[in-house]
Amino acid sequence: MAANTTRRSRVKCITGNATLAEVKAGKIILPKFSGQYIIVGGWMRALAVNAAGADSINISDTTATPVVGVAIAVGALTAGALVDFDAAANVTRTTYGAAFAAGKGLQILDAGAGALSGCTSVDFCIKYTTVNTA
Amino acid sequence: MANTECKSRLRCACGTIASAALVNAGVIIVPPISSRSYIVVGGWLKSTTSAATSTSVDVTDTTGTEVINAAVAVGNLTDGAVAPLTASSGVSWTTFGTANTKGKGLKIISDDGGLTGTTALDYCIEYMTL
Repeated sequence: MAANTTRRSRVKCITGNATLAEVKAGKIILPKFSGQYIIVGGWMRALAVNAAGADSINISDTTATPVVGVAIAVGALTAGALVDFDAAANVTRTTYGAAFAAGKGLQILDAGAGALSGCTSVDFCIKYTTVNTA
Repeated sequence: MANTECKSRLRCACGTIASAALVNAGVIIVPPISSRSYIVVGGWLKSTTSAATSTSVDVTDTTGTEVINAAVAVGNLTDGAVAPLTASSGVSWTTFGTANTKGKGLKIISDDGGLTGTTALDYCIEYMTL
């Protein structure tokens, strides 16, 4: 976030679930709009079976080369275990508490040399604010 | 949870429960509204003086036999420590991030009515409404 910049806005939340196939393909969870999204918190959990194969499951924007907001290490996504975006370990926060580019949505997708496997689906909760750009 | 999404303003219920006896009895922190369901998505509990004896302090709905949203082990409720509902250990989640039954409120209650130690319980529960 830019130094000495304060943004004040209502916090919104989206919860949902993405199947293994949807995560591998990239599932849009917040549609693009003219303004900007800012992720301020949330969590993720794999269901049924431990996540494996990929390096991480990310919340990223919808740029062609996605800008990562939060990356959760697959090793932390054991079946049913909830991983908070603010956890001290296994979470890499990149564009977090800071605005993504205007006109982009947010998606959940896997990352790494291997494809995500194991879990049947992933629950997610994204806490976010929006910035309207004129 | 089902492969559906819920998007809503994030709301927060914060306060203090003044004694272990009240926690044992159960305190409704968000009243039921007949047309609404609540989804607990985060928050924390904090005990003044360490909690003991019970297994957990739970965030539940207000059904007669409460549906547990999150259960925080008393071991996490040490004196003055903020115990997140999303902690990596000592918390179990049942109906968490998914909707409770419509028309039910939210409650904080000990799992067995036997909580001791706690002289006050601060809470901050993040939730959405549908």
